[in-house]
Amino acid sequence: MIYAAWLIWAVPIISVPFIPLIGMVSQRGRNWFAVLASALTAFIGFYLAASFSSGMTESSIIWLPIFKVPVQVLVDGTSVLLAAFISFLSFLIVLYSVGYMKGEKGQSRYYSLILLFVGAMLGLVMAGNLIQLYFFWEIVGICSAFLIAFWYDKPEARRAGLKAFVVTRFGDIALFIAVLIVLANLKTTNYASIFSAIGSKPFGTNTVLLVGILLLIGAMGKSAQVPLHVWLPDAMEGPTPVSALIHAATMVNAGVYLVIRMFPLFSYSSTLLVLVTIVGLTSMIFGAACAVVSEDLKRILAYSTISQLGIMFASIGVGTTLGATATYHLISQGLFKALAFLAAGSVITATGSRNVEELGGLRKSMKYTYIGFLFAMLAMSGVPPLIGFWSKDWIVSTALTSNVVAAILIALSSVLTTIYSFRALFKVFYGKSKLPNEPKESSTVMIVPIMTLVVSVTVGWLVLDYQRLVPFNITIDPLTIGMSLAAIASGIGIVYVAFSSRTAQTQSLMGRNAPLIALRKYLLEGLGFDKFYGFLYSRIVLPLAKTSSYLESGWLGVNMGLMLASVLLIIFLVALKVI
Amino acid sequence: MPSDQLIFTVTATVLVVIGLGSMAYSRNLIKTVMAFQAIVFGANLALFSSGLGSYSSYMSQTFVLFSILVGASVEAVALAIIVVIHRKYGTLNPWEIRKLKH
Amino acid sequence: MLDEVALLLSAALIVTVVVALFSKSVSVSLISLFYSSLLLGIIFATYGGILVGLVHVITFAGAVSVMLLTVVLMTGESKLMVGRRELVLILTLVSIPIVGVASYEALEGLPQAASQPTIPGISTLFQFIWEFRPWDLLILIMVFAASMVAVVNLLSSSRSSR
Repeated sequence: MIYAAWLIWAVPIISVPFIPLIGMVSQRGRNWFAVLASALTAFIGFYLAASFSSGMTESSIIWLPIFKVPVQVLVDGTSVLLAAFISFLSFLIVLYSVGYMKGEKGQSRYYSLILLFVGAMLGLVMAGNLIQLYFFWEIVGICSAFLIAFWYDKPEARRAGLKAFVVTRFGDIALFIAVLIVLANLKTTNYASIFSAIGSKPFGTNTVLLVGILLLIGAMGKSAQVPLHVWLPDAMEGPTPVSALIHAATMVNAGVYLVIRMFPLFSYSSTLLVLVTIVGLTSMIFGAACAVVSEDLKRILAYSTISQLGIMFASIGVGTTLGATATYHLISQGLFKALAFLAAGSVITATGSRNVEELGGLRKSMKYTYIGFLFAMLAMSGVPPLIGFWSKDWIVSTALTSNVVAAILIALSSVLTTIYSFRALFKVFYGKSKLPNEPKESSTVMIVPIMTLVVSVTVGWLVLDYQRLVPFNITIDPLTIGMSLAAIASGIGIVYVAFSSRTAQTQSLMGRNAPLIALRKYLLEGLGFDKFYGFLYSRIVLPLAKTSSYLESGWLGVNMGLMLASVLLIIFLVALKVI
Repeated sequence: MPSDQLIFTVTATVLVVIGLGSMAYSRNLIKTVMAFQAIVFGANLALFSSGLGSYSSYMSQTFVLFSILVGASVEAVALAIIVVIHRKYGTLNPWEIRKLKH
Repeated sequence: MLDEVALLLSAALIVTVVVALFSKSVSVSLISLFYSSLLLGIIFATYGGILVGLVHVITFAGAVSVMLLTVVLMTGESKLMVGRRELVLILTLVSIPIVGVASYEALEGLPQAASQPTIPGISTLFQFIWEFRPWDLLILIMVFAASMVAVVNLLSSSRSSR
């Protein structure tokens, strides 16, 4: 069984160099080789999940003997469950890509990066120490930046890729410093030894607090939490399967996984838990509010991801279930968000438009896509008995027992969730078609993953209830069910009145309300975070860069003279016994 | 600390300093490459002398060997670039080339 | 005995390099640089690095000197102007004692080697590289090949563009 834990991330990474080689011979062969590799990964994932009994097993190979850094895999319930989930979801997404990317240029690059991305994420989940986690964390980051900028002849795509890379870098630096602090204090970054050392002498309260804050900043960068979220809405410039992979399976889940994995450290200090909760709740409300006004179909889904990840952070911060609620919601969010993205991609390939105002009436012409999107939106709003209902209501119930404010805020945000989900659904699939010609349903290879995900969203909670990797003992308060049903009903009601039944009247009614229009404009700009960062860049970073450019004059003589001067300075200092 | 090691270390440092200095005031790119060669000599000698004081000089000699070949490769490319520059600008004075560029 | 040899060879090396770098005439520069390469090779060979000295003489005194000569002939530069030579010369003269003192300060605390270091022969050194540093050798060959390809490309492309 331990071999499966190594193979699950080695198989995708090893198959990366073969993809361009096979691509030289046959295009079709390369596509199906990528599908085969990811299918093998998914099979290993399920085998690992089936053969896992209980407890926590480690297996390591010495890698850097001087620094005592082993390559480790950690097999415990959470990592096995997430690895199986990620490999399953990425298999479906690679299969979908075969249909979506048909006829595109640069597919060898695409499939190699996708497999590297998936392999790195699986390696991150299975990693047994922080250094290895950081290594895979960086691979995940760079792969996502390259995949977002996949259509590099579009300037927006290049810009979005660069933005994702630069913004997540802030988080990465924080994580790196945290890893270094742990290494300096404990001489090891093994999870078990970190947890056993918490509170004792070299790793006291203040150090734990510092490390926890830095880890939280790292997780915020990767998981797109406010204020490091600005890359995620722009990341929509990439191909849709990449968005699905980033939002559901790989990139953004890394941050949540880090916080779940380090939960013993976070729970040591109540300040840290409060910070995690505040970050989560802010992102939740911010993302939901922006998603309500956004006009780009994929942007709506992106803001909803920020909101859902905020719920996960908040549920970790509430801290009654050791992160199990967050794990559950991570899986549930992954399933319905992947379904939503795959259906949205099907809409985009059929119509060529992403703007919800230009779409409409696709219900009849794209039946399977409609079913997929409908189930995704129902699960996202938390309609029972779909998987979203169980995850969200379990979070609200656990929060009710310890942090009532968080519980009420989460319940209120589900009104917003329902509004944006059903707004997207109504605008795209109901009403009159505004397109010049009738769109066609997508090919079978794209429909099969969508239908598989529809089934998973529907019966996923049964599977999660049956498995014994992470025992989820879901207990839902009747009060919670009432609250969430009321929220869903009110949300659907508002959306129905506003967008479906009497659109013209409500629009003229809202058109006269100046504060509402101002709020809408403000939200469309994402609350001005981009503007603020642009201001910081032009006022602080650019002048500093200009100032430092005086040192690099480009004169060979000046540069060599400076180098000579510094060499002589060092020699003088040695002679004077300063160094 | 053997005294020959000390002598070679001093020689190596002096070679590097002379090389940097004449690179700073060089008015000809061929001279710049010669200065670079002096710096490479200094570096190789310093590496070599570090092996004299230890039990085994295998490692230091290996690295000197590699360093010699890398230095020669870099210098060959630099000389080829100089030929290209001369064909393009007709001069090898970096200060004049800078003026011609603008 | 070896110390005096080291002093003598080092002084000769510095003198040849200084002459090579500060002379205005191309031929003097080239010849003294050739001699300095030979001297460094002799230093290597005297102090136990026979293979190193051999390779050094072959590459620098052999190949690189010929290349410098070729470039000088191709570009037709006869005067190698150096800017403010006096300044650099003074700098060098000043730096020698300071460097000597600094090196002495830095190195005097180091422990003396217990015995004379083992001096590898040509075949043993090559065996050592082959056994323990094969990847470095491979990388080195790649760097060398890449530089040769670059040289050929630079020279040929400039010819065709004319």
